[in-house]
Amino acid sequence: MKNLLPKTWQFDTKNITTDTNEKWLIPPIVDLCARLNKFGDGTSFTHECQTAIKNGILHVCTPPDDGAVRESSSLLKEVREKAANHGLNLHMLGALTQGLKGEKLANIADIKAGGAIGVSNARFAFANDEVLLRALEYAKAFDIKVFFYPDEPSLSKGVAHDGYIASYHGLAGIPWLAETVALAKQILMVEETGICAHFSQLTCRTSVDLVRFGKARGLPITCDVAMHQLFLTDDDIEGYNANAHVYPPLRSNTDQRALRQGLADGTIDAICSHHEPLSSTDKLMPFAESVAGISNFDTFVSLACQLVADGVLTDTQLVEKICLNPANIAGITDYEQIGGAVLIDPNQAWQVTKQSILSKGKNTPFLGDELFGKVVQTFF
Amino acid sequence: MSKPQITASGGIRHFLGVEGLGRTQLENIIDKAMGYFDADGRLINTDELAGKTVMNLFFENSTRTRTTFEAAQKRLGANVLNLDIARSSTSKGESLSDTLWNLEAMSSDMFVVRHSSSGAAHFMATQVTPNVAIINAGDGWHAHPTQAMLDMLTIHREVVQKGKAFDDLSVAIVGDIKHSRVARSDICALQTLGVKDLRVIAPRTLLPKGIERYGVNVCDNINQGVVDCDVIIGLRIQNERIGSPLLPSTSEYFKHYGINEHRLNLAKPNAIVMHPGPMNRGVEIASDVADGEQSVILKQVNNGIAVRMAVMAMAMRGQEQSKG
Repeated sequence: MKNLLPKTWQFDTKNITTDTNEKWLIPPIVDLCARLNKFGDGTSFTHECQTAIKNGILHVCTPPDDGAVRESSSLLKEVREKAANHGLNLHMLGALTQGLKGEKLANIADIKAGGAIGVSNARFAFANDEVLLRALEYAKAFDIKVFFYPDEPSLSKGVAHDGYIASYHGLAGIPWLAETVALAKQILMVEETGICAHFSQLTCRTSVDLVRFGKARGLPITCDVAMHQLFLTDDDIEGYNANAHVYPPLRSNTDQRALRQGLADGTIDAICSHHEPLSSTDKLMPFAESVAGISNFDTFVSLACQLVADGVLTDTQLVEKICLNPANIAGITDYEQIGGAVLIDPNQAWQVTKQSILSKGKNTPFLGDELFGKVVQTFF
Repeated sequence: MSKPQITASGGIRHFLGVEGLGRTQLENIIDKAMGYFDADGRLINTDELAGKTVMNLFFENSTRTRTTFEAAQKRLGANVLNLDIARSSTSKGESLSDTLWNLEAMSSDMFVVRHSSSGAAHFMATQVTPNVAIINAGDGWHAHPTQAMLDMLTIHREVVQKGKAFDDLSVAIVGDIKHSRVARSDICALQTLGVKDLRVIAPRTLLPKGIERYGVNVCDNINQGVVDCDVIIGLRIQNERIGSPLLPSTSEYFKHYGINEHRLNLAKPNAIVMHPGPMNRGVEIASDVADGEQSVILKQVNNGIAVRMAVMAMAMRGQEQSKG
């Protein structure tokens, strides 16, 4: 067994007996963005909490619109306790504006008092740039981090990456400008206000360049990429594969290479799952009408292992990207105190089927694929 | 693009798009359609679909296309059902799959489908097999394959039969390429049939992303784009594009991209002018060109019936072969 726990990590490895030295022992995975309430049948929260845990993801951060809009300390507390009953450490973002409408500031101080790790307007638009600017200024007073999912709504009216593949299929495109225009503006506002910011689910080359630029200027910014963006491209929507319908969309090969490079050189700090479990009927319709989203908890560790196999990251770098850095970004100060560990077999083969996936959402374009890498055991 | 529309022996199982079909298959459709004209050039009746039930499912409104399909179905001897589907099942919240499964249970043999979503016909083909053939009558911006094949039949009758091969033709498509299912299918069909000099003419706002990968020559100046063309295909400009961020006004569009007599004179002397209809006279085409001697627009409509007869007959044959 290869012990990839930090040297200071409080975990007794004596009780772990394993017959191979190829397994990895890592800290619990921290997922910076997953949705637990998206399935819509009222039972998904519990089920998806359990699915996360079984896949080694003991800490999950959810956006403010996962379920009821989180804009009060009491709601935040209630949801967190519900997850804790299932053994999951839930870390939530609160609303940046009231009802996420982008018009009036939310009660950010109350939200922070309720234990929110940050505030965000999710993917909802701001009425104008002044609201955004004032929201950041106000949030700065309470020293709370702002999470962005960069997106300019007026440019993102399509359903797939604005390139040849979408064009050939007659699908309305979403240009990479929809992301970078918003991101550039947000980085400038971070510089102006001095707020700490995290940019989630970047998809394109120029976004990596913009974050690189911001970091070079010494701005307090971090960013992540969704795991599936490192393995899929817009080629995967070929034949109107609704399971490859995600938002933000799968981008080009060039973008994917830039994301992998940004991950390797440290520009991209973390990898999230962007898990969005959906029902079969959500995908059982023409591509453009299907609901965007991918079920990712079950494939997350396998794809992470593949990044190491592909030489994108070393195993210790992987631990930084999916465990340690996300914990720092989420401000989980008691991460090591909570402790625990995850034992992974990076070589264990398994086939992705509707039966082998634990999540209620079977919406993954990896269905039918053989992947390598599985959680063997999770220690609390 | 996957090929759910081809049988094991290379026949047509569904007709979802032109892409994925080879030159021989397209030529077979043209030959088959030519067989539906008598010696005087009039359409004939056959009993190739006798005893078969064909349902026209137009989730998106269309009078012209639906009527020509219905005319073709009746000439083939089919039982025809026109369903006002947009105002019935789907408006009550029924899913597309459920609608299809219910209609399939009514012993339908073929669905002719028009839908506003690109890929809808492909999706339906995955839902109804193995008992029903799907004919795509237009899906979103993606494809309008029977329109493309009637355009190919028209070019065949008006140009190729008069001595010039598809391989040697210069064809210009003018107008809203970006949002046009006709343009996508025409480009694919023309290239499959061997056309090498294929030009698309439009302002940048009406060109799709990645147009350079289509293997066409892109031109934003119509006066240059139509020079020495054998065929000019005009596309309809939808009203909602005018005054949007895509186009400023009808007058400016007509001035800079309209097919007028001056521009027609820049093409080959016997060049033909085509348009899928309905036309916006004075927007994408001048009336004197639309009604002029070089216009074959009304012939396209007549050819449309023959092509739709051919496609439906071939798909039904492929369907029966697949069932064994």
